[in-house]
Amino acid sequence: MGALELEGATVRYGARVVLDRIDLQVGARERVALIGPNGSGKTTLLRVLAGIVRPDGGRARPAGEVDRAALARRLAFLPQEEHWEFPFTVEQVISCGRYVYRDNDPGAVHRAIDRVGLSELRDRPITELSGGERRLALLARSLAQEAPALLLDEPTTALDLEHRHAVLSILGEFEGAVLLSTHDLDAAAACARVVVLDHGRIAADGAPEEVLNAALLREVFHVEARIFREGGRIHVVAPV
Amino acid sequence: MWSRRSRAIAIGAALLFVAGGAAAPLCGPALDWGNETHRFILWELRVPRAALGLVAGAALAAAGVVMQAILRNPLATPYTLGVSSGSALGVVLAVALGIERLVQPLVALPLVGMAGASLVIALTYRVARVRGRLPAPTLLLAGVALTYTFSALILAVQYTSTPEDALRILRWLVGSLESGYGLRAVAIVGVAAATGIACLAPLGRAFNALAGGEESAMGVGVDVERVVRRAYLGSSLMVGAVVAFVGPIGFIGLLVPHTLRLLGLADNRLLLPASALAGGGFLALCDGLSNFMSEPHLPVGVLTHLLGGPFFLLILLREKQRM
Repeated sequence: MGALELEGATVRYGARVVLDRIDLQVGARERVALIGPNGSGKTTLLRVLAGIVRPDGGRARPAGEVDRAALARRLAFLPQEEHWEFPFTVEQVISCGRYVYRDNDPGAVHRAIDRVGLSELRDRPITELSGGERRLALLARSLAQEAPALLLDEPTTALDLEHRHAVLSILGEFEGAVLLSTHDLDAAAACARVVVLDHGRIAADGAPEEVLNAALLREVFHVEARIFREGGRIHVVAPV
Repeated sequence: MWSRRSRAIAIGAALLFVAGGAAAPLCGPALDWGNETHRFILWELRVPRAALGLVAGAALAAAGVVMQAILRNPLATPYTLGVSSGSALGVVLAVALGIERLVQPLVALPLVGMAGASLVIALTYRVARVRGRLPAPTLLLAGVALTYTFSALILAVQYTSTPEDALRILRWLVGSLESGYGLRAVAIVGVAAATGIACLAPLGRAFNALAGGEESAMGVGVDVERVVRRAYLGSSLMVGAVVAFVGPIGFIGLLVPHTLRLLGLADNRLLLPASALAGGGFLALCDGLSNFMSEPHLPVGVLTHLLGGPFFLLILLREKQRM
């Protein structure tokens, strides 16, 4: 059994089928990228795994088996966007990751702050951070949960190269299961496995070199992309 | 655990509560301790009013913190969500229909106030609930729509009442600490405020997690639906009972939490009790100031707006300069 698992998961919004009988397993130390066009169901799939959306059919594990507090000990979910209206400090925001534990455990919070390199900004209001710093702070909140699995919805979207690199490095060193949705195909290629969603179904699932090919990108994204290898890694160049 | 600044703000709020309670009865024309009428004014009028200000202000400020937390909207208050209007309609109907003359008012008033607030809760749940959850935007919109509807109903009741009842309704709608029930009203409002705050204060950590949105709160393990339901019901019923005695006094739920946040206190675990203390002190002091004015004394509802509005603008200007 995987750390994260979907079995025949189906989600409908009204008459529209957003996820169509999805089967997916992510192993305990596996790093998986979820790609697909806008509206293909990536965010919904993550929400089902995070226990936020209950599937209309099929099952999600562990989300469907435990309550929310127990789930937060098993996996940390980082949504795509968060808007903070009130001036909480970086440290207070990261402390929220300790919600299900009896106390805020300053040790775990400080480890997470140090891990993302925001020690100097810990007393700064989150409303005053740049987009990249804010994303790192929110990633630190997920790390502070000290859960064995991370679910991240487009963690590198709208980040500059430095912050994108920082986020991907931190995820690369995480010693548990990682499932991230992304439009960043180079970031996806750096994962051990790529799952392609299209119209709520899995169009491909495998190693990056098997999945990321011109024919599949043409079929799913309707673009003529160039694929090349360098240093054992796949790179995708999309037409401008 | 708390920063020096947070501790200083909380201590300041506690001092405001104590100072407000102690100073408010002494505000106004000097009293002669040897004069029996003056002793009556002090113990039967000023002290109950100050005490009512302390507990009512605490409840209204705490409710503001809670509403802002669950809606993640700095403008949310019991008024924006229609709770005050619902409670006010309950009381206005009780006055117009003579219910409070038939039943013991000390029992009837909080009950009709809470009944009105409950009606708003029921309607809002019916309208705003989506897939078992109460999304902030729909909750806010439903609240605004209900506020307008209930305000119109209140005006209609007032317009068709006898001149005597219409005047009583007007005096009550302005917001005043002269409940006419002395320390008995203080006891009832105090129990409502203490129960409400005791029920809401433990949710501070959940409110913090909610500040980033419902999904991120769920991601860290908050049972958002349960927290929002408890917070909404607890704060609404508390406000219902308070409004029944003091009328819909405005601005406390907006002004007090914002001032403390602008001073640097955002953590709801401390913001909620600190706002309750500061709100109580502020309302008692505002009422004390009205003693300095010649007859007829301006009701405290007018004063909180007169003082609160410009004060709030000054804070915003200061914040703008800082940015």
